[in-house]
Amino acid sequence: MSTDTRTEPALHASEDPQPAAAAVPPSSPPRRPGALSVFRSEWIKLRSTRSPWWCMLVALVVPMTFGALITADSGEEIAIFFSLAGMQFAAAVVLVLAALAVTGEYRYGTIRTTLQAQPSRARVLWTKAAVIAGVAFLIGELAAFATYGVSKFFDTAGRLALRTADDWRMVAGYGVVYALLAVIAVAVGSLVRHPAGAVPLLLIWALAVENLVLLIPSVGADIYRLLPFVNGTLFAGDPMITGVTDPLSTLGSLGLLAGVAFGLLGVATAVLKRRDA
Amino acid sequence: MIEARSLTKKYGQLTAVDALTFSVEPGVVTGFLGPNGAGKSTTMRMILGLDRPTSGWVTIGGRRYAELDNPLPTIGALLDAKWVHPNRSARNHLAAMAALAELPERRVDEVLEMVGLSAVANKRAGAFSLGMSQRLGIAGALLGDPDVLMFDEPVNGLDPEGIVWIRTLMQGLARDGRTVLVSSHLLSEMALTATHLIVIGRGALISDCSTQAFLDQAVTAGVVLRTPDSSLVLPQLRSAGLEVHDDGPDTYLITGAAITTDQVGYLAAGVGAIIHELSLRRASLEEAFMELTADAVQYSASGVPDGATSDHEFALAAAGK
Repeated sequence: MSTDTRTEPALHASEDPQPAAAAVPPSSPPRRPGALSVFRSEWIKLRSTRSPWWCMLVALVVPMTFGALITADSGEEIAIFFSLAGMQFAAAVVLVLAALAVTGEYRYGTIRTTLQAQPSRARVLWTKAAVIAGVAFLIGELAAFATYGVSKFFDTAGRLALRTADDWRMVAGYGVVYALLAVIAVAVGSLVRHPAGAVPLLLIWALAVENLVLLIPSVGADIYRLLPFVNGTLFAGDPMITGVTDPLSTLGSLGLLAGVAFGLLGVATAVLKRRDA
Repeated sequence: MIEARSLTKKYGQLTAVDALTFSVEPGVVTGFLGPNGAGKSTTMRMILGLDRPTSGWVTIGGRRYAELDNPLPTIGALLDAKWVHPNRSARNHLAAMAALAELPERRVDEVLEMVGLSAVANKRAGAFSLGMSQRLGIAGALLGDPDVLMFDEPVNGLDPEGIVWIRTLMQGLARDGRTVLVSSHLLSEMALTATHLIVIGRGALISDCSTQAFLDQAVTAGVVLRTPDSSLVLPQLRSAGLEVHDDGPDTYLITGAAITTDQVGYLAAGVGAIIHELSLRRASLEEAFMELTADAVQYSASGVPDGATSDHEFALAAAGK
């Protein structure tokens, strides 16, 4: 066998690296795309499928409907907190929306195209969390104020009004809470990676597990006070009902929720960096 | 140019990629050949920084993937045509990628035009046929106009027209001076597409040479000779520089450079030997390939897959592809 001619390309390259090196044009564009480009990409991804739009619609319509029904049907007393009861439902929808935005990338493999284009995994996850938290914030504010507006329309006796700072917090607070819930859902979604795992986990945690804690006789109530979703409700809650009257404790609730959210996001970032995509 | 040195990936007990060292040079199409489960996709995922090597390293143009400032203009890849959200349009899928690499929006329309998907740019990608999905994947790889391109089994499931299109495209990209690495489990396809071949089996390097050299080595053509006069004819053949292998009772496989039946016939006649059979034997490409990689096939028909593996690769192996 005359191997001399056949291996020529390899020999050629090793003897004279000049042509091979010259054939690769200088790559590396001037700078590394920053968080803003990830932000734009995430926004395109979020708005270009239908489920986020459906989630947004449901998160608006359901609290408004319940607000109208609760207010119209209530007798003597009505508090802002009660008229916004449907916001609990919208919170669950926000969890689903945020979890799906991440787990969908794993389900359809697009996370790999994303990480191919932007190898900084921390930047991808944090920007994704920021975009979805931003949308969740808007949903929270829109839904809360729209629900308050509708409730006020049905409140013919004029009992609902935004008089105090607490009153404002009980409406405007939802946007902040929803943004943090979205961060939790993004972190959990990134850790679990499967929609069928992340979504039930979040919903059961938020809707069932935290309330079960109350049933633990001696320490239940103390633990309950430290749970993230409970604290979300406490922050946007009514001091007359929740018993949390100290403004510092109200802010403490927000801080605790934020701490859990960013703690989880930190864990999710570390795991994402280590794991094979 | 892609350079891998001692690249290794282990999943628990299973070694998916075993100390691979190779270079992919610009200007030619390099085939990445191996049976299913040989570790081709895992290697490509490590090149793209998606999977972390257990040991060893791989660089693109001298830099590791994570060090690339903006990867898409450096390396474009199609690893799996199904990596799209089914409800997202082809244009939005590419627009999200283009935004990440800070490429202008018109580049999306350009690549859609290049792969012939302009007419369906706003259709949901989930409704695409496999051929259209492959084209969308290729559009994504071309998006950054990269110097290095990588395609994992791009012709899988394509019709002949699509296969020719991809083959022509890859050869054109190489002619531009780009580095093109394309994986396949079909030697016959690689023989038509690639100039250079990196062949692996069970994650380890089997061969790294020109396609022509590999084919010459793999397709051992020989002449089958059946004769009762072996004592007469065999020394004659050997002295003519041919190799003689036993191939059954009174039967011999004669090999040598550019061997023909005529040549063996004349030599036998020269010593007055009786010939019962004289014929040419040519191994098919796939037979030759299977022979070369026989020890390296991960999932043989009798074998049960051991350890962790990619569902995709196992499904393909099970389907006999």
